[in-house]
Amino acid sequence: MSNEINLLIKKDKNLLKEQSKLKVFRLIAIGSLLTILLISLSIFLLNQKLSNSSLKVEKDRESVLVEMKPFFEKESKIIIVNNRIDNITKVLKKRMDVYKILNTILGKIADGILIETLEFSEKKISMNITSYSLIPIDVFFNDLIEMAKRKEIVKSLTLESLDASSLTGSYKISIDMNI
Amino acid sequence: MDNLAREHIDINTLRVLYARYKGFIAPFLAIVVVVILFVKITIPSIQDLLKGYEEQKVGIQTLENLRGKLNFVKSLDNSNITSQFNLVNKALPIIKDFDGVLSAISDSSNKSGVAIGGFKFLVGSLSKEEDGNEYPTLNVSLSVIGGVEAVDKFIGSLAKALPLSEITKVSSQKDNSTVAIDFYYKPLKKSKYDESLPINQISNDGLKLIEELSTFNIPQSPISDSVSGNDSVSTPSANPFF
Repeated sequence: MSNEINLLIKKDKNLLKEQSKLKVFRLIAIGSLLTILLISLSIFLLNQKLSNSSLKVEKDRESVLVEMKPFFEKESKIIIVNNRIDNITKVLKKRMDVYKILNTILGKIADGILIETLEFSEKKISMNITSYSLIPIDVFFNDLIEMAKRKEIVKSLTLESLDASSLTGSYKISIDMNI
Repeated sequence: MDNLAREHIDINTLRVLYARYKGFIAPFLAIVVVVILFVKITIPSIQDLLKGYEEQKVGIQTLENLRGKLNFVKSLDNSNITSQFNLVNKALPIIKDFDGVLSAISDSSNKSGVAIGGFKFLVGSLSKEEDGNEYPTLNVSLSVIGGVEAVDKFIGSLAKALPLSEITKVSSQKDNSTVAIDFYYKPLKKSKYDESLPINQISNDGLKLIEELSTFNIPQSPISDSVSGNDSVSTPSANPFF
């Protein structure tokens, strides 16, 4: 008898196939359930461990803070000192040392020159000087020109006026400097 | 009639299918539940756990910083840090230090032997902080009795006096001169105490600067001396946080 016309045997085969499929399906379902259970359990245990150690860290932090309390003032002082040092450094870099500038320029004033007026503002110096001789004026000018050439303090120099008074025999000079 | 027959056929089909696959329903539902649990609960739990570990890491770092701070602060010499604190606050006060400014002017006048005719403060707002100016100043305009040389002497003396100042204008004639000076100050920014931030030691450059500042004239204020007998009046509160 041919198997192909035996309907009973074919049915059993299909049944077996489906039963094995069902078995695999059940196994997957149980496996995934167990896996999720295991993962959840692990997460729970890890969470417990984490919260215990976090609690310990928090306790330690609080005890250190309590221990630090008497030193808060000292801590604040050092923070402020560092802050001030930082700002003072910036101010010193930013500010113009007018004393050095004036001192350098006044240091070039040769004997025989009298400063009538001096104006300084906004990086500009204006001077009116008087002398009875052109020689010290010449020396002073040459020095300033040298400084302007070297861009040492003086960036540009302008001779505004030179008046000679026959009445007093003096020379009056007005100069502007950009610094 | 046709429709009814079709419905019967559908119900019958469903019945057959149910009978055939009913064994699969329970495992299928279990897998669906597992997938839902995994997506909705397990993944967020894992994320929370990782976040918790990150937070713990930060907490441990903060604790270590705090311990470091504690040891560092304990090792500081209180009198040394107090004198450094007073010095830098004299150099760059946190408020408009009228007392310090007057003392600096008076001291510079005495040291240079130059007489001051009179002076004028350009104070500005006393209650508001100066907005938009990184380094606000207290402007003083004063007249100096004397010519260029007197001004030069006075400025020289003031350049080595605290608080830090900058000459903004000089107008000098034979016997009378005018000088405009900006005295710097810098308010402290309000900040919340952050325990996780470490404290930095004073750098070598900072120590050099303090050493340099200590060579400056630190005018003793007659006002604060008369009030308290020491210079603590013009110095700010040591603790900006508490």
